Amino acid sequence: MSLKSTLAVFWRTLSSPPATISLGVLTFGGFITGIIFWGGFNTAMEFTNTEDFCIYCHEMEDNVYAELQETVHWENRTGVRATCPDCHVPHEWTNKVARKMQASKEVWGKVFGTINTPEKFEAKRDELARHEWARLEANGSLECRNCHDYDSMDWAAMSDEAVYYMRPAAELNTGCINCHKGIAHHLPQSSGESPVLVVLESKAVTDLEEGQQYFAIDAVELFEDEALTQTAGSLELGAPVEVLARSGNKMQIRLAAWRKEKGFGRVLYHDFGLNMRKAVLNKDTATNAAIVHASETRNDDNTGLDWSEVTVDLWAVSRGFVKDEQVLWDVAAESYASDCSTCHAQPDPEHFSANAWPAMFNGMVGFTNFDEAESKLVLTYLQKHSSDFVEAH
Amino acid sequence: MDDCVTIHDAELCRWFATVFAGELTEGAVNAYMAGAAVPYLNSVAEQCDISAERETLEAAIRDWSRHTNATRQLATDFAAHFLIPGQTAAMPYASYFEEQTLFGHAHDRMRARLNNAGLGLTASENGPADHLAVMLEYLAYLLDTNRLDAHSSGYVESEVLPLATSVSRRLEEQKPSTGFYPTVASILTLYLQALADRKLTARV
Amino acid sequence: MATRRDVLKRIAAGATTSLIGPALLGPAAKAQVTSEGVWKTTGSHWGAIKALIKGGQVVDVRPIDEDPNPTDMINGIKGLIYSPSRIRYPMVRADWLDNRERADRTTRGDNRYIRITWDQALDLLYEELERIQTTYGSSGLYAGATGWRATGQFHSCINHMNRAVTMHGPYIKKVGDYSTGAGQTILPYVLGSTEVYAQGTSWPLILENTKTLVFWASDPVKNLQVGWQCETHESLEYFDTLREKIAKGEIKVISIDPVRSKTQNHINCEQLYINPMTDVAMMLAVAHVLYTEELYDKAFIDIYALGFDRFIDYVMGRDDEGIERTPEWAADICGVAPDMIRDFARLIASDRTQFMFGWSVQRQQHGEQPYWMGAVLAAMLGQIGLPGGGISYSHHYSSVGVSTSGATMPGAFPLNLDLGKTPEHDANFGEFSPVIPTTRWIDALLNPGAKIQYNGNEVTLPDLKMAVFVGNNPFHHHQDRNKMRQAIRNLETIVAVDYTWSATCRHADLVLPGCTQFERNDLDMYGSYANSGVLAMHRLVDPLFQSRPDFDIFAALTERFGRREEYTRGMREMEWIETLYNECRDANAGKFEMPEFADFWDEGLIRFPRGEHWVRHAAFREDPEINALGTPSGFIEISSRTIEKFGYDDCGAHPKWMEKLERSHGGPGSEKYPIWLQSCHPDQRLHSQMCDSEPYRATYSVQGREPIWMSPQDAEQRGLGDGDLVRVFNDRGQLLAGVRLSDNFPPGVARIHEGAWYGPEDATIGALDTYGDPNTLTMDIGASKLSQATSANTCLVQIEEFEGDAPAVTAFGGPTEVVF
Repeated sequence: MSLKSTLAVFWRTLSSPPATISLGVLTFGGFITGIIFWGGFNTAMEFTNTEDFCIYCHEMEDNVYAELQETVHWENRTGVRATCPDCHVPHEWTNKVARKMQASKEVWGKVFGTINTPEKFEAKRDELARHEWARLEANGSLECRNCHDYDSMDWAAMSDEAVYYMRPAAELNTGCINCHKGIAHHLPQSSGESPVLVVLESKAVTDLEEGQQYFAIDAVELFEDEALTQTAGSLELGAPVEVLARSGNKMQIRLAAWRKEKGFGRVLYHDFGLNMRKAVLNKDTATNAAIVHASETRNDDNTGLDWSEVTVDLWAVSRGFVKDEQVLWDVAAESYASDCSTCHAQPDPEHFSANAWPAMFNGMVGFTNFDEAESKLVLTYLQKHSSDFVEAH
Repeated sequence: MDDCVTIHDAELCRWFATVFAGELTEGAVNAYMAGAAVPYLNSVAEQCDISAERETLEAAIRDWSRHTNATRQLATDFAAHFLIPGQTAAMPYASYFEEQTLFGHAHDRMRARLNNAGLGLTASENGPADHLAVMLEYLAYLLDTNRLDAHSSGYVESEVLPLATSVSRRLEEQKPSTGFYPTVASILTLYLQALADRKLTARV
Repeated sequence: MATRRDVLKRIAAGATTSLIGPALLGPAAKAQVTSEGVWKTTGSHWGAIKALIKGGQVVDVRPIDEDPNPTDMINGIKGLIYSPSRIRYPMVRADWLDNRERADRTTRGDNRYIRITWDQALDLLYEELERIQTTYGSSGLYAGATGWRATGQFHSCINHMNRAVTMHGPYIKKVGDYSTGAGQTILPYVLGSTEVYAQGTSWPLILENTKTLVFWASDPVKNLQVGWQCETHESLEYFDTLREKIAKGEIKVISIDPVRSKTQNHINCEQLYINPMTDVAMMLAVAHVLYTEELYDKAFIDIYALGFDRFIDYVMGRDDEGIERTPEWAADICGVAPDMIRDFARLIASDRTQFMFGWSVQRQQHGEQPYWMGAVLAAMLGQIGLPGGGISYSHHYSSVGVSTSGATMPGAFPLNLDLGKTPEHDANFGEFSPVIPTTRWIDALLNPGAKIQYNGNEVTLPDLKMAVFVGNNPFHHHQDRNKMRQAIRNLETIVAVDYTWSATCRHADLVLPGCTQFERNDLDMYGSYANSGVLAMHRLVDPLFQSRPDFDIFAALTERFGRREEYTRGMREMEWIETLYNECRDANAGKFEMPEFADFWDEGLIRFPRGEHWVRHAAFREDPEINALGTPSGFIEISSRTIEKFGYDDCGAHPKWMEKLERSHGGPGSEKYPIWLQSCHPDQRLHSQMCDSEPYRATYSVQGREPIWMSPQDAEQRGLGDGDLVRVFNDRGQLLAGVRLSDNFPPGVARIHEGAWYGPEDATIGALDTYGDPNTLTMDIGASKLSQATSANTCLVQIEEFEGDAPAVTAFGGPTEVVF
């Protein structure tokens, strides 16, 4: 009996597990049992490291394996082909074990039928992809770099556009997966998430430091308390915050902003008289003077409205920020240039003032393909690069 | 003599076709100034009275030598007459005069004639078949192959001559820098009329 | 002794080769002439069409079956393709070819051209771009003007020209447009968006909820025939419903207009006659009634608007001007009786009222004011953001009001340079502004270096030396032809790319033949706002004569400086179309199913389901704090401190009545020139497009001239009858037109649709226009310092019978009479 068919029998015996044992124990136990059952750790590892293994046991053959065959990683002029384990199984020993432990969950999915049809697989694709992206981000795209290395790149042979993107990535030693998601398999489409947010998320910093300033790349949810039970509102894309304290995956942030003293003062703006949004607070939070510390009011001569400067300390999960705001503007600039030029030449951002841009943008956004997140990002970019922020021409 | 004249007719038609097909080259201008048109004019004159027109044409050609760049002058005349649309321009397409459009019924008729004869336009551009030059060259083909009577009765009277007449009338209204094109068009009209009359007589 | 024949033979032997050119005919395979032909689908501003192709020619054009309300203009498409006005070859002005910037520019418009090859033409274009950039820098080149390019996302000539010319060097660009310049500048300050190009409340909600619908200077039934993308004509069906509801007494519809519009006649609604250009006076009186009779919504003004008190002080005469804007005050100006104004104010305040403004009323001096004042009235009624209430400035445009499907639409050929790419020449604008208000380019030519105000900024007009116009006809859309003709003498080089000999081409030095959209493959959005589908545009016929797609033209230009590959990204027409389609398909994956490209191309049109009904400004009404408007304050600005601070005398802190430079019905200048000439969008053209379609133009022209519509009373006074040829004139110019009498027109009002081709008798300034372009007579001033928009509808003229021999029409390629 071949090892492969032995494996098949083994999985079949696992197909009716006792319901009382938790999923985690079963996965872990099942995996370890399997290794020992085959009578040798290394032997098993070697076989599970082949493509045959992958496409037999995982829901791979009809889905991601077929997709891979359409890409340059399968067929190219040099004849070098990447197999499943080249990218997905770490070459370093302990990592291999850790990865296979995670893979067991996917195997478990087959057993219980969570991904055993194309439709179910598609429904799960987003979650599975995110696991894999997170892993590659965490290790700096180690498996990619076994073949692709910044130091060995021939910059002269690249197109200008490739250099434009690749050069800063090389300088920051950015992991490949941060930009090249979907290079070997289809991207998840069921998530409904904005493509812009997916791109930005890939550039998020994971370890935020106290006392530093960061910029939101998502509508980060805000809370009044450290336990994150009392919602306070959310940040706008591009909002700068200062980290006051860290506590596990949570952090306390400070928002320094301005607001209009008309209505409930729920919208926090970047600066006096500038309609550039930083955050939107809930009514209860906005009207709670213990949380929102407001200065004396100041009248804006351009509208006749009173404004006050506010400081708000709130809590959030420490996820969804970048250190360098330019990351946001690069993404936004590209969206703006391509989407706003299908009918006409797009005006330069500095052509209008920060307060004029929302109106110009609102008037034309219906002609674009922007989703909500992209709209907000592009508008903030335009305001941030408007005549208020650059030398007037 | 008759067979000589017939051969001559085809050549004459090719000459007229060349005049209306495109701008004169430097070589052609020099040839005209050297008297190259004389035999053609002689042949036409054998068939009809073109003495007045001939005098005008020869004077016009003599006048070229006074121009600093006769080829250029003729090219701008050619453009003004035939290439730039205008209500007094003489766009050399039969559909234009018939229907105020391009590629109209006259074009369809002409294309059908060419198609039946196994002929097609050689130009790389997508132009219509009812251009005066094309129609004249087809006439040359009919004369060459002795098919004018048998296959194309009325072609001269009802297709080529009316277009030539329209073009000629229009050219009379223009303000060219040289009288070359209007005069050749007048001669063409007289010639075609003579040809039509002659063929008619022959048929009778 | 040699015979005469021998002599002839000798001469002929040396000369024949020179006098007889290459054969025009050669052997060809016999084509099947019995073919039934094939129907092909494509699209246009006039809607999606199917064309019967036989023997490589379009023989019939019809709307697609899905079009619920096809426009009659589809009958002009065949004539557009086969127009004798087509540009057939690259042409260059002879004098300019020899002398370039030293050539005589006074003959522009009556040019002597010669034919050149494409290679010569593109070399010339490249040489000139190079000369201008090197000699004058970026400020010497004007390539920013754009117009209603032919439809198609890939071939859009605006994108091709911009990408290619920018690749070579930067140039002066424009802001604003000739259609909505005043509206799109004022409304951001008032309602926080340009509004004029925005999706509007869905028609079913209007039909369901509106009790009084006011068309203010708007003629949607005329203007909805065309769309910016492929027009679906889907909103026209609502006008049929409207007509039924009016007949049943379920809705009151009032058209406020000096003229009985096509829409009014179509739906059989009421008309409220008003003197031309006096709308603001009447609106102020309506505000006076609403205020004094306390018919306005105080709570709405309180929560959603700013600056009401300041405005009301003006209305009540409690300001510097000290004039109370009563109905009696207004009646003298606007010609509407005081009681009618009162009744109107009470009516609109009595129940749900929807205003729909057209664009003509802002294409006049102080064109900002009626739009601003309309928003103020809507705010006073307090129905902004309610279904069937509030104000719209776009329901007459491109099927606005048909719910948006939510599908992503195909992108376009990139207008910009690819990331990381820079032009051959660096930006060098010197002291000049790199962007100018679009209508001020003629002023720039006449007064380079002059400083003008625009929307709170100072603009230094550039010293333009060369202009490139592609798919764009400024000799139609700009005002005051004679001023223009004088001004363009200051341009050293004018280049025009078009498929037809427009007046712009006739004034150009280098003229390149683009092909029509019917001679290339493409794809388009089906519906400009509703995103109703994606349309395959099949090439109907090969490009005629030597015309070429803009893609080919500009790829060949970029080749001259070694950047063709970058320009085309190494792709050809069908590869681009497939790429654009697939990107669209990917973006819609999981939301809207789209077939594989090959199936799409075969099917021709794929449709998306209609989206949910939507109410404009509803989000703002629901939560004005979170969903703030884009105004400086975030609220409706009845008065604007921002504008006030600009300190302009012609657009101040709040909407005002201001007298015009010239105005009919007793206004300034009306004694000398008593008739107001309106030049609104045509009924049987798209601006100047299709004017060259000979058989179609013949269906409406009068003695070969553009019709001038006028009242029987004005005609009788002048001894004119229907069909007469008249000279229409003022101090700015003169034109010939053919009289059409109609009861739709009141005394003192005449109309010539804009887009009638300019055909001057000769090159002299002031020459008689032989066809009837109304912009021969219009005034070229900015609407105000705020918008610097066109003031085309501020125009008075006199009309008289034309005596003597009428000069031939010079505007077109077609003959005046059939010679046969």
